[in-house]
This record gives sequence, structure tokens and C-alpha cells, in this order.
Amino acid sequence: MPRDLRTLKSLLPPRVFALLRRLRELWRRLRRLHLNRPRARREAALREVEALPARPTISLAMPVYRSDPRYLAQAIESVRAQAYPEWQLCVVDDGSAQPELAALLRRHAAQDPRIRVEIASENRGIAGATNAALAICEGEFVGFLDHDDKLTPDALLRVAQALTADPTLDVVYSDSDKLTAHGVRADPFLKPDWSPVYLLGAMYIGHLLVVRRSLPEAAGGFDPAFDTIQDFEFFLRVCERTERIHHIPQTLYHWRAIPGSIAAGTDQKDDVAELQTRAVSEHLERLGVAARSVPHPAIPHRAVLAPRNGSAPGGRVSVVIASGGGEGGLRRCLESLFAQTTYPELEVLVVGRGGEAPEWLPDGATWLAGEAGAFRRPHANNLGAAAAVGDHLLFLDEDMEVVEAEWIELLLLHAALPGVGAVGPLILRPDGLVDQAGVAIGLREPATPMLAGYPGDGDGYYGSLPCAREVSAVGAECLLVRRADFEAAGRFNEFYGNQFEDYDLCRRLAGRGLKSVYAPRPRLVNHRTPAGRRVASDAVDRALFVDCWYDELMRGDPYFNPGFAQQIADYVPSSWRERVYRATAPLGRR
Amino acid sequence: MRLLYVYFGPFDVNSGIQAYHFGNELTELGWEVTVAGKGDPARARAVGEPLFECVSHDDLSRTLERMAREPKETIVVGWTPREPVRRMTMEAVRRLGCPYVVHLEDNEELLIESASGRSLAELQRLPPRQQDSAFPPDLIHPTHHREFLDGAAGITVITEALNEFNRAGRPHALARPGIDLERFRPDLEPHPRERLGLSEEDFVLVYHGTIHYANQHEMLSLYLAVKLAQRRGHRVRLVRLGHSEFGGPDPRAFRALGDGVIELGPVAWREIPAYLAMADAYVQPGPPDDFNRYRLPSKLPEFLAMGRPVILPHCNIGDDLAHGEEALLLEQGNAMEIVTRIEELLADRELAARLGAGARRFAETRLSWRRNAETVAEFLRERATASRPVGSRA
Repeated sequence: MPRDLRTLKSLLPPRVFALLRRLRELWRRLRRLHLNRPRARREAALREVEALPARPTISLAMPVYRSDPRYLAQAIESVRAQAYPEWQLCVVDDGSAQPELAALLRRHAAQDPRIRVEIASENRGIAGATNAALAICEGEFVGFLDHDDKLTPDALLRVAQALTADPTLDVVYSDSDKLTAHGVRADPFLKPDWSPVYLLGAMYIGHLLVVRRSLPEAAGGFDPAFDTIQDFEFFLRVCERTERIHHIPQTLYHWRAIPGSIAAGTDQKDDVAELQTRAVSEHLERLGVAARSVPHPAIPHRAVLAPRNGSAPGGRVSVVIASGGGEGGLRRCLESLFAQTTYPELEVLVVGRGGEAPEWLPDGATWLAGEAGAFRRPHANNLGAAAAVGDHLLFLDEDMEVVEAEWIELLLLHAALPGVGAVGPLILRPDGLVDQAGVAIGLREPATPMLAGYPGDGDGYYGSLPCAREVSAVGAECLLVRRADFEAAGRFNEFYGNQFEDYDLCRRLAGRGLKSVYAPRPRLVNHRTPAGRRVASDAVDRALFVDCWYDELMRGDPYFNPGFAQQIADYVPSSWRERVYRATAPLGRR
Repeated sequence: MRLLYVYFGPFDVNSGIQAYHFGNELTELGWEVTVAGKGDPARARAVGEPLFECVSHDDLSRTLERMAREPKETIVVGWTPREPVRRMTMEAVRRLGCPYVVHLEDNEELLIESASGRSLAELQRLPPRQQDSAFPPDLIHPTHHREFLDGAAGITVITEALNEFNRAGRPHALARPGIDLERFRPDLEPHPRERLGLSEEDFVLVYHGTIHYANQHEMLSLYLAVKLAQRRGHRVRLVRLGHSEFGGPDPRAFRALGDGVIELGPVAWREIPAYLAMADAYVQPGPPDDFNRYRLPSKLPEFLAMGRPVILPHCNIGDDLAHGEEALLLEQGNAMEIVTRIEELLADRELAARLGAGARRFAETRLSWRRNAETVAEFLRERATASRPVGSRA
């Protein structure tokens, strides 16, 4: 509460103060309503257009084939209603042979010189038609609009603002939602900032997509061999040519979900899985990554990584386990590790709290006597890392249980992706629910485990659980990092006591251009009890993390859309959570 | 010559104290000085006996009426380009027909961006009516402040870096504050430590200043540094005076760190020297960033004059201090670096003594109110003369 309000509260009787507060809230709502009137919004948008330092022309390529005239008209009208004036709409009718459709297109072209129409006599498929539309685009940038979808009135304005704010950008994409056959908006897709690893598992870029016009030319346009997912495959080739890719966290595109389209459901087009994994595998090959894409065994339109035949990432891996002294946990951890692990080049180091190695310590493990006083995880892990000889360091909490044989192979596979610094697996609780699927920063808490409490075999939000993806941090419960990167980032910061040093390391790796990645496989089980977690909660470590990364935390997590409720990292749009809160909160608090 | 200072805040805090000293020194130099401030003018007496006229903002109109009846060569100084100051200054200029100078003491653009959560460019794109209501009323107006600066006869700046905001290239002068060397001196009788539960073995830091939206991060660094130092086995305690508004990405962090800090809340200005005298060292937290580069926290001259080691960011006045001789400078300004500096002091008592003596020497030679006021007086006189309208009386 601001100080002035506190003063007022102390001066006024509580009822009068409550009444004034309600009146103030009412006034704010009325003002919001006033400012949100379509006319007011349009006027505001026009002022924003005037304020733009430059106005690049954005051409929109629209292939048309036997479209529903109603939807097609709505799509074109949505372009004509743009607040941003410097657009061009390039429509190619792909041999529909429907005179009324051609007439509709010509009518629009006659009404607005910014609309160009080409009526083809033969059908070349969607990739061919899009290429034909691209060929008549003249703008500095090109966007893609399907014949039955709609843009929001400010869509191109927001794109132009992004492009002029940073003229080096080559690609801009936005959030989207779906339009049902009845015109109802549903299913918002709030995307993360540019996430090339996530793209390997989920076709997440979608619409609205705007690229510099030279890129499609360089990439060779759309490939008809990938019709159905031709835009996804096209984008894979585009992103091999630029990293200047910007995400606008606003819904600028309404995707029509009509029977037969992918938007209507994941089971609508059967050949998608094969095309998707083929496109990703070819993309990985072009990047020189020793991995291939395979369909997720249970969830449609999701792909996971597998080793490419005959070539898997290798090198010696040193597993470092910092032991706080709990014998039961450490024993389970080591037994499961030696029972499950198939990876041959392995070194296991256990850093204890002083003293001798326990008698039961497996032969393959080396005991290092750490400091005898209070357990300090960063210090113990650094001690282990200093003694390790592996090319990769794998920090493992003593409460973890290894439950999959090829767990190290899978972690290495993700670590070999371009630009990846740290990898953390899917960590489950003993009851099968998610304990941690990566860590988000800057939500209500400085660091929040993602999807905690969700079923481990679900889809999460648009594949956030079954697909590998970029995250702001991964936990030292299980964290793989190249030794050289670990050293260059300055190891774990020993100012931390027992917590947050792992997230801190991930942020320092990010400062060196190295991402943290969540890997959906392998899965490990964390046996740490809720009581153990509470004991571990350290306010000083938490504050130290805030102090070190204050500005980043204020900006929020780039991989967790600001449109989600920020209380917990479970991908619930904030508008939904607000509605649930209002419906369930006691009357006086609504 | 007449000088009207239009100052934005109360008479007895931070910049008000600087206005008080400039007012007194300029009066002694023969100027007729009036300072218009917020609230009760009698609060100036908490600082000392003003030799100049103090009026409240509410009474400014009557004061201007009187001044208009008694024509005299006058110059108005708007203390910051903040909107209420701009309005009052322009009103004074209109009624007295005199030139004005703007005094800069902060990165005002950053302040409004922090307070509104939007960039200045965004605020400037708003329609005029929304601009009028979109910014906190005590800060600059997104567009009017530029016109205000551009139209001034001159600009005075508290640190040279602030001249970057003088985009129209108006004549400018450095108006660095001084320090009352008698009031803040090394041999003052300290407030008894035992009354605050502190022992002689404790290494005590004293910080007097408000926690607000713009300095929350650096204050978090200071609070955290104390806790980190304690965790590393040092008996470091912080005594803090002043209001607190905890915020930032994790407002609970302050509370969680609170047991390392003795919070005394607002303390009368007269009592502050005794509290400062309790300290073994002072820390001005914060990085040398766009916020700190452009300001000179008014407590820094006080710290330096007290003759104890000072840890401060390597910017503004820090640029003029010799690291290791007159102060310890912070390059990052975060809690870890503060702890490292504190540990240097704890490990080397000789260094602490040398830094204390160096700080006092700096205050004596570089922070003289009289010398700094003479610079300001010369600049204002020159600006008043140069900007005199053709055919005017003076």
C-alpha cells in the first residue's frame, strides 16, 4: 500500500476508507473500459504508428485453395483493418477453379491497391502456392497468413515496432490462439522466447511469423515434400541462417480450427509425425548434431531425440555426489546408479563430510573427505569437480534415484546440441508426479520448479513436459555440464550456503552464451521429503540469488510467457487463474 | 541580487539540507535568498538557523506577489526538473520576468522509468492527457521536462555526468554540495552502543537514508552483505535510520534478512551525527550504473567527514577518491563485493585507520560549502546578467 494511502487509512474510519477504496477501483475499471473501446484503441494505435521511427513494408503471403468465402473474406478484412498501413497482401489462388472465389479476390484487389492477386490455373499444393505468393511479395519483410485465419488489428503495428526497435532482427513471431468454427476465441498458445531446442520437439513457432524477405530466398522457399507441415520445415531452414529471432508475447493471430485442420486437433492429419521427425532429423544433420528425431511414443505431434545410428556423444563423465551425511539416501543413490548405468566411461566421486569412507561404499565410487563442519553443497561439489578427471561433470544429489539405464547417454545427447551449457532431466517424485521439469526465474518466487505436481506422463503445456526445451535454470539435483564450461563460468559460487548456487551457475553460463536445457528423458526420482526441503530453505541464499540477478528477475523468465499466471510455473494463463480466483474467492475478496 | 530556490521537498531532509547550506552561504555572500520548499518552513531549523527566507509551496504565490512589488534583479533556480518544481518555477518566471536555472541532482529519466515501469519513450508516446496522469506526480513530466531544461538560462549539476541531460547545451556549472565539518567530525560522542544491544566487539555499519523504489536493489545488497558477513563468522551489524518501502522482485527478502539489521526508523536530523559516530565503517551500496553515476547521495560527504572508512561505488564522487587511500571503491556494488571489502577492513586495522584519515582529508579539502557556493554564485550572477532581457531595469 502506498504511503499516502496508509496515511489516509489511519485518518479515516475503516468503513469510509473501504468505500473510498471501492470507488477508486470502480473509477479505474471505468477508465479501463473507456480506453478499451474499439475507437479509442484504434486512435491509440494510429498514434503509435505516427511515433514509429521507420515504416518497413510487410508483405503477407496468402495461398488460397477452395476456401470458404466467408472465412477468406474475414481473413482479408483483418489485413485491411490493420492500424499499420505499410503492408502488402499477396494472394495466390492455387487452381481452385471457383469463379466466385476469384471474383471475391479481384473485388478486394480492386478496392485496395495494396492487395495483389494471382489466379493460377493448376494446383501446385500449399508449398508451391506459398512460393508463388512469395514471388510477388515486394516488402522488406514477409509474413504468412492462412486463407481462413485472422490477424488482430494491431498485429503488423506490433511487428513493425519490434523491427524498428531493433533493425538487426530477421524474424519476428507472436503468440496465437484459435478461432472455432463459430468464431469463438479459444486455446491461447503463449509461447516462449526463441527456443531452438523446444522447436526440435514441438512445432511451436506457428503464426504470426514475419521474416526478412531475403531469408526465404536464401533458404530455397517452401518444400512441397513437406506439405502439411511445410511452414515448420521452412522455418527449420530459416533458423539455420539467423539467430536474430524475436518473440512478441502478445496474441496477434487467430488460427481457424475447422474440421480437417491441425488446429482442430492433433489427430487430424495422420502423416504429420513422420514428416515432423524427418524434417527435424534433416535439420539436425545439417547442423552436424549426432542425433535424430523420433516420434514421442505416446503423445502426437511431439518428438524426442535419439542417438543417430552409429554415432553418439561420448567422453568421460564424472558423477559428483555431495553427501550431507544421510546414509540411506546416498546408499540408494549409489546402488541405483551402479545397477542402472550402461555408460562405460564413468567416474563416481562422493564428497563426504570429513571422515573415512563408509564400509558399504561400492567399489566403483571414490570417497573424498570434505570439510567436517556444516554441510555446504557448493563447496563440496567444487571439491568433487576439482578432483574429477571427466570431460563432463554430472552433479547428482544423494537423494536421487537412477531409474533408467541410458540416463547418461540421453543427457549427453542434449548437451551436444548447439549452444547448450547445462542439462537437467525430468525429475519425478516417488509417487510419479513431477518434481521439477526445469526451473523458471523471476515469477512470484525468484526460482520456481516448473510443472511441479503434474502427472509425469502428460503433455504439460504444448509439449512442455515431453519435449526438450530451453529453461532459465536446472537444479543441481541432477545437472550435466561440460567441465570446461564449468571452469570458465567460475564453478559454483561458494558465497551460497546450500541452495541457488546451481541456478546461479546456469545464469552465469547464460552470460557466456550457453543455454540451460530441460531433457524429458532420462527421468530420475527424487526421494527428498517435503520436510527435508523446508529445512533446506535458506533466506540468505535466496536473497543472494536475487541480489546477483536482480535485473533479470525483474524482467521475468524469457521462456515462461508473461501471459501466464506468475504464482507457480504451471503454464496457466493469468486470465484463467483470475477467473477461477474470482469464482472461488469469498464474496468480500472478489 | 535576489535568488529564489524552488525546491521540491521538505526543508530538513537530504537535498533540503543542501538547499539550506547553499542558502546560508549565498546570503553571507550578499545575496537575498528565498527557498520555497514543501511543508512547514520552520522545519529548516532542524538543520540550523537559516539566514535566508523560507517559504512553503503554499505561500509561494504571496511571496511572488511581494517580490513583484519590489523589483530587483532576480534569478530563479528550479531544484530538479520535476513537474511541481517546473510549474512553480515557470510561474515565478512569468510573474517576475526573470531568467531561470535548473539544478540537476539525479537521473530523473531513470527515476520515472523505475516508478512507472515504462520506458521514457513509451511514456512520451502516450497522448497528452494520459501523459499528465501516467507519471507519479512528484517526478518529471515525460515531455515538459525537456522543454524546461532547454529553455533554462543555465544548468547546475551535482555531478559532471548529469550534464549529459543538458541536451540543448545550455551553459552549466558544477554545484557540488559541501559538508559541515564541525557537525560531522571524527571525535564526536557516539550514541551508546549498549542501548542498541551492540557491543564493542561488533563491527558496526550505520546507514541513514530511505529505502524506496529506486534504491531497493542496492539496499538489499547492503542488508544481505551483513548477513553474509555474519555467516562467514564476522560480528558485523548494521544500524539503519530512515523510512523503508520494501519491494523489488522479492520483497520478503528484506524481512528475512532483517535480524542482521537494527532498524531505528526516521531519526531527527540533529541526532544523526551521534548515530554515525557509532560506526566502524560506512557503506554506500550499489553498482556504478546509470542510477548512481548521475547522483551524489547526500550522506556521502557526511560519511567522509566522519573520518572512518567508507565503501562506495566507483562513480560520481567515487571517481575523485583514491582507492585504498581515501575509500574502498565498489566495481560491482553487490553484496559479495561489499563483504569482500568489509573483510579487507577487518583483516587490516591499519588500512581502516588510513582510509578514515584520507576520507576526512578529502572532505576538508574538496567539500567546502563556502568554496562551492562561490562557484554557484559566480555562475548565477553571470547567467542572470547574460540572460537579462533587453531594456530591463537592472
